[in-house]
Amino acid sequence: MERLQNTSRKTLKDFIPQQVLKFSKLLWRQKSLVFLALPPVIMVFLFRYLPMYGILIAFKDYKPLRGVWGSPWETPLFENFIRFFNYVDFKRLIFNTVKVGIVSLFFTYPAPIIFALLLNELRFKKFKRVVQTISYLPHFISVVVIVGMLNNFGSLGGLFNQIRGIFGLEAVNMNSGDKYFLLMYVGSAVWQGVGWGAIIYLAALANVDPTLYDVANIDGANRWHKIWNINLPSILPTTTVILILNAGNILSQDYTKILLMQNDTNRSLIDVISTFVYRVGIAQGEFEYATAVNLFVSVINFFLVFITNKIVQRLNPENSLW
Amino acid sequence: MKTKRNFAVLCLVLVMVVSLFAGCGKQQQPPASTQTPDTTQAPQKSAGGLKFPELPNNTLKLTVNIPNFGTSPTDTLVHKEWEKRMEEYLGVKLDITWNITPWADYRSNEKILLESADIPDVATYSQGAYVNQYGEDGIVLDILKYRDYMDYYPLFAKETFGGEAFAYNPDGTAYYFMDGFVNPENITGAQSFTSFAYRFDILKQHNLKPATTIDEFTKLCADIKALIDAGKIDAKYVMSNQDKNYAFYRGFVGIFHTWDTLYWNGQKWSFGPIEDNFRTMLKYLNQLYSAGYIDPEFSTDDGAMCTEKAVNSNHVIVPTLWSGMARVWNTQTTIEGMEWGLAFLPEHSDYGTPWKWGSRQEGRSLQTQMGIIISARTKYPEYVVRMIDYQYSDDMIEMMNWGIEGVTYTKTADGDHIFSDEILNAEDPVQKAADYGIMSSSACRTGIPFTPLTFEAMTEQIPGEPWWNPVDGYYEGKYWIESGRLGGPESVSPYDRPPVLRLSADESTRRAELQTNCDSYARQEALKFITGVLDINDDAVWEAYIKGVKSQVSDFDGTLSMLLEKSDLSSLSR
Repeated sequence: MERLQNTSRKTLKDFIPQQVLKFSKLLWRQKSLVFLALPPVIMVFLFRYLPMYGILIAFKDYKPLRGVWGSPWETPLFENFIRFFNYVDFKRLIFNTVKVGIVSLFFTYPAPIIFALLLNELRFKKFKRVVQTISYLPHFISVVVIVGMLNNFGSLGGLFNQIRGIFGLEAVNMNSGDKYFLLMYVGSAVWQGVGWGAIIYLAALANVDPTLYDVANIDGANRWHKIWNINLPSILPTTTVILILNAGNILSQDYTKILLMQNDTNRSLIDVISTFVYRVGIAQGEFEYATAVNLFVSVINFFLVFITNKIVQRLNPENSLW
Repeated sequence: MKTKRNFAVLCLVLVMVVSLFAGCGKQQQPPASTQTPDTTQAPQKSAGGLKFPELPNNTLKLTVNIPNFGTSPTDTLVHKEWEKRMEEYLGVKLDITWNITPWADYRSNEKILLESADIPDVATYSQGAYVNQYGEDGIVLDILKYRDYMDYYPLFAKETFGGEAFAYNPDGTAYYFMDGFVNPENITGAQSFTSFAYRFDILKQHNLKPATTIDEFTKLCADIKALIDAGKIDAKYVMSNQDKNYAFYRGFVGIFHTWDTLYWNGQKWSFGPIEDNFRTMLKYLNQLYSAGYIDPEFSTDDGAMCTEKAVNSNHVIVPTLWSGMARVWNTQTTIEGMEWGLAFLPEHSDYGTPWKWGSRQEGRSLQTQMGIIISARTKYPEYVVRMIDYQYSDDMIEMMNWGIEGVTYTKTADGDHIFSDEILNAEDPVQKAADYGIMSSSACRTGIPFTPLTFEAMTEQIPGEPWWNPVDGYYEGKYWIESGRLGGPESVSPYDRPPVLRLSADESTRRAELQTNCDSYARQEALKFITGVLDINDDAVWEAYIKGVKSQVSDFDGTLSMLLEKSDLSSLSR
């Protein structure tokens, strides 16, 4: 009877599933870490998730005075998306965007890795520091200045043509048309980002266990062997994460740079989705249309991240994001 | 140890939380009061038969957005006088918060401001009929609801080309005060793009003269090219552009009696870049380009690069340029004797007198593009409307355009105004006038722009530039006066005298879309014709180009027909 009474007296704990209880205990044990993580979580929620309700205007005939909720729904609901798909230059926009994105990724992604590996091989520390500092500097130059420099360098009497002249090549107007656009756009991006991008890889390289090099030396490995068999595998998880994140930006180019590089000879040839969104959303004030186009891009970017992660998962599950 | 760690974590978290919420203060007070005007509830006072709401402390508190045109107006003499006179006129104290933004940034943000519905009590505006849709949505005030509070603006509306039908919407609304002009002397001069710039020093040295006909111009180009090739002229090319942002052909369209955008061509609304005249012009420019007369970088050099070339003797002629640039180049060059000067556009035998751009009407007139908007949520619209209206009064126009009598100008016995010697003899008279806040300088616009501009004040302070014409030879003249005198009334383009258009908000949007989308496409394709990438002589290519232009909007021909239907042709007889 007494035993029966004991079993019928249930506390609150008995109603909470064991897993939740376990998780709560874990959180409590690590309360310092949880407390530390709270501000960034709140920040991400406030500034990244909360504004997402604004995406709704992609499906609405947005009237600012009525607000996001008060504006009427588009009929049909996907009107703004359909309008974009029917846009006369839709195919060209997509093609340009994918082209610029893939070429940029192809060159800007490996450049910092190679640069970090090279820097890591420098033995003279002072020289290494000087090179590293100089390589950071372009990162801090404004895009307006960069494009101004490109315009000047690419003109008939500019630096690039003077270099061409040394090799006996004829001067060409590199600012005209789209022939040299990718070269200048990607080239300047590599120049600007190589030093800054290498920081994360240098940090990863700094964590490589030095005994691995000792062992390699005993085995008679040369520098190339050490790079290939020790350094690269050590930074592989980092490079993989960066690749997955970069894959999510293939359709999102540096629109300010492209806008500034545009002129009448190349405007339509180098127009990409982000410049189109700027023109429609900012210059023409068609917020709902611009939101729809950007939402379309975001969805594709998400799938790109997802697919890249899947591929990485297949190749090496430890290096994937999730 | 553990306590220390917890304390450190607590501090870190506090710092992060504080920084996180540092930018999350109370949202900035909306510029315009969120209350809708409710004059029936507020205590009222009467003045001159008009009823005004009682103001707290008799102070009118406003937020005003205005652009900066180079010199900030707020501390200038004229601006202070503007506030003083305005307070006297309204009988209240003004407490205005001025938000001043550089003009280029201001323009690029205007549509966003309207779209966000977060406009201040009053704002300078530069997007023409585009505002109508926001008026209909209840964001911008219908100023005609307060017509009784206006004494001066209706005079402009009455006297402008097209009259009230031009100034107000067909449904009896008006959502902005339009930019005003006062031109009693009927100066029909052009704003810009009505003259070619030549290196006068080189022409004089080689006994050449600016061209008066297009054939002479072609020959002049050939002569200059021959002299450059022979090493007798220190230049690389015959001609170049002033800035890639202005289509090179802008200086030529008037010669071929066409236009570079949507315009009234005298009979109907037409999109210039698909007209036959435009094609003829492109053929001509292609000839010039093929002959090697045009700098190949004419469409890729920005303003700074073009100026650098102009002052360093890269070329001899600039056909497309803003007024004042010749003087700028002459002052910026380090080459001794370099003299850029202007001559009226050469005439084409098939078309007659060239058309000029931006010539104003006689007397008082209004212009649709620029103006002033008032928020529909402003608390005291009666005062605000009356305040803006007062800027159109003769007294205020005189003060803002000439400054203070005895300080910045004097009046002759017959009523003529003369700027002070301090301004006229200054190294840069325009800047000197701007320093006083004189709006006719255009470098500083006092009050709430755009306020009516008087041509006399503007032309008097503008310094002269070298000019040439076949009768007077080389002399110094002023752009507005010379382009008016040399072109005569027949050079006034139909573009500048269109019929009154009665468009709804949607129709205005259709018109704006056609203009924006098709302009951009046409500019790029026209360039290909000039440089020979596309064959201008191939009819099939031309037809494909026209098709391409039309495909930029959903109903190109329908929009043009709509514009003609909505034009009040009777207004042309004024």
